[in-house]
Amino acid sequence: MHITRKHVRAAAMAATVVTAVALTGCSAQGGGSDNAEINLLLIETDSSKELRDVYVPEFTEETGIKVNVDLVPESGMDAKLSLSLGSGSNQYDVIQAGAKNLSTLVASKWIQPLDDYLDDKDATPSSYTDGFPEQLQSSLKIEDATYTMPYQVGADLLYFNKSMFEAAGLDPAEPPRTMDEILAAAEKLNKPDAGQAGFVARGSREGDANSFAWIMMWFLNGGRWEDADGKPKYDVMTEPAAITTAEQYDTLLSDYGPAGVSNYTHLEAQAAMQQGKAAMWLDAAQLGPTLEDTSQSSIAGDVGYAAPVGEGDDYIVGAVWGFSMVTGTKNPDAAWKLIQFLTSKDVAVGQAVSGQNGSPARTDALTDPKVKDAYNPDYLAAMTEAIAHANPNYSPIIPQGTEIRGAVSLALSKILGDQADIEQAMTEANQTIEQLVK
Amino acid sequence: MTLSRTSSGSRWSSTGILKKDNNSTWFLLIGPPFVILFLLTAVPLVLSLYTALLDWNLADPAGATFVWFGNFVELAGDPGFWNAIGLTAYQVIVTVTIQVAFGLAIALLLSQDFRGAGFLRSVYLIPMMTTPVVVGLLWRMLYNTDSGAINGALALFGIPPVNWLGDAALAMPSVIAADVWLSTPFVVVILLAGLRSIPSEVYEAAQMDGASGWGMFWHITLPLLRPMIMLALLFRIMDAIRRFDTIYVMTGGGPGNATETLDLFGYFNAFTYLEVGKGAAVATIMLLIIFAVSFPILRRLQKGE
Repeated sequence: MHITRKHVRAAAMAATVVTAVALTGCSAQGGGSDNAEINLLLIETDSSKELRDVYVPEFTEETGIKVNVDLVPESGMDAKLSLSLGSGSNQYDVIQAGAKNLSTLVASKWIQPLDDYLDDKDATPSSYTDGFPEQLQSSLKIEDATYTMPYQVGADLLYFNKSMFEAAGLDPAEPPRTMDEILAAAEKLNKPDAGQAGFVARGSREGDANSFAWIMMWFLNGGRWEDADGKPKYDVMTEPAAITTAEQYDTLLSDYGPAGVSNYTHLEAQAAMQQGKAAMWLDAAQLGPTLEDTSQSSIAGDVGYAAPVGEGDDYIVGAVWGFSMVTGTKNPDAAWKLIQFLTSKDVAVGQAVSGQNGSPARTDALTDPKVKDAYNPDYLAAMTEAIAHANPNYSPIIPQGTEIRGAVSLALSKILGDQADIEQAMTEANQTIEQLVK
Repeated sequence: MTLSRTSSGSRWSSTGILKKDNNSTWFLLIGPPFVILFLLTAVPLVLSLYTALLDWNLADPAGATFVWFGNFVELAGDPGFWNAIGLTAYQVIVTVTIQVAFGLAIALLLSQDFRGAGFLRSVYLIPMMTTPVVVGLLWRMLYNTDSGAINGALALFGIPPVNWLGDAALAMPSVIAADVWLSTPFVVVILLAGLRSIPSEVYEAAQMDGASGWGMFWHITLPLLRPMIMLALLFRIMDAIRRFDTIYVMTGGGPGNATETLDLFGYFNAFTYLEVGKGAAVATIMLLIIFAVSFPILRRLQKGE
């Protein structure tokens, strides 16, 4: 074969490309975790934006580990996780996920246990693990393994407008705490002619928001996704606790709620409280601090807080958000360093003081003097009590978990929209669940 | 500017369009984009059809199982699917009927020469230029029970607030109204072009024969406009069947499943519940429905009826 100048040029170019690729490979393979580059998936919230803008750069400066951050809205999270992790593309090393996502993530083996790192005293100082509430750590375990390190705990709280309580003859120092007490107070506080709703909570089916509020009430009424022996049971929508809760949910929202409550996500419910249009609101603890923000809330300084009380010991919905390590990450050491950093006391205190994360998952952060100075003591007391009873298993931990939540949300939306009566809607939901788990 | 090559005249016609008889150049220029576009359509379509035959939950570590038409059988026994079919039919029929009727009326009005007609024609295009998601958010705010402009206007007449998107009976008519606002201008543009292409001599001759305004509309305008009406129907029906964004933003399929059309039903199955096989089966059924509805219209258009 005659070798022309063109052939030589092509061979030289090919050699350059191969060498460049090989060298790139060397630097990635040869470097320790300190030179690693990892990818982090965050759910788009004010607190995660602060992590991206303030704390992740701080982490890179301290460790030399470069972190690429991807922010995704919560509504698109399920699709993003399934498409990126399901394809096995190793797009992410660390992901932020909720306890509700654990059902899918663990069942599909998209995230890995962290116990080897937790047991390794060199990789993990005991001061790190000691800062988390024991009950929370143990309840987050799945088959005795830890898959996520908690960052934020959305334990449910009852927020109330103290002035409205006084006007209705209720004592703000003795707020309602059980479901029966909440119903009785809502009736007294409901004054539609004055534009005042007695109660508000999530009513929209969007993102299964309504079933989140319903599960808070269902847990208080003794409902659980397990039977008395702790064995998983999902087709429980026609059992007394579920039916009673559906009736109470319907009464609270349809009879004592604002006119358009069936479309309310947490944002509309929060706005109704901030604007003095609702007297009580049952929702996650991390939403509370905005009620005290004078630039957003007309009821700042007039807010009361109560931790609801229910049956059993773990009756509070612990909507835990945490950080998990993706199975197959090429930089597990760097990933673990990042998880530890993001769930450390320093970050928790910093974000609590800045107001971006009002419900950190660390007890040592909540008891820190800086945090105590920054928050309403009633809020901190209620939240500390609620976290002690938090149960993060509020969504079924099976691959069909999201679909089961969807069936409950559909039933509740039908009830609020007068599309079906309570018995009919809950029976339909139960039949769907039976089909899903058979 | 034309691409005419005057020297040989063998490759380009006088209008600048490549002559088909020079096969190698023709294939060289037309082939790559055709092949790329074909592959970009055909490959996902075939994969989607194949996925529809799998029992595949992305969250299930067991992976996918080939079940032939199992997903279709499951859908046939699912009341949610039939609810979605019924809602889609209702939404398409009502939306397209109103859009064509309103579109024709507005096009007839705007085809007249009067002061400000040009300005009005431009104004009517504004909804069409707006992103559907933005339109959905806008209408969601208008319909807001507590602070929406619609309930605000009703309050002036002492009418209590209406829960437009939260009441199962009102939700679908409300989302239909939003789509009528969004897409009627498209029908107007098509029909306006058709109206302006009808020679004025035809109307002048009819007037001389003593034809009434209604008679001219019925016997001249409508028959000559029929191909354009069919074209508008074809586009609007296809678009309405696969309507997703505005409904998703306004109601998310609720309250209950009162606005869960076929597209939303498929989306929830595939991307919320991760049942991608079932979601693909819904998409396949949608494709068949669009074919079945649009094919007769397309045939009549091609025949020039």
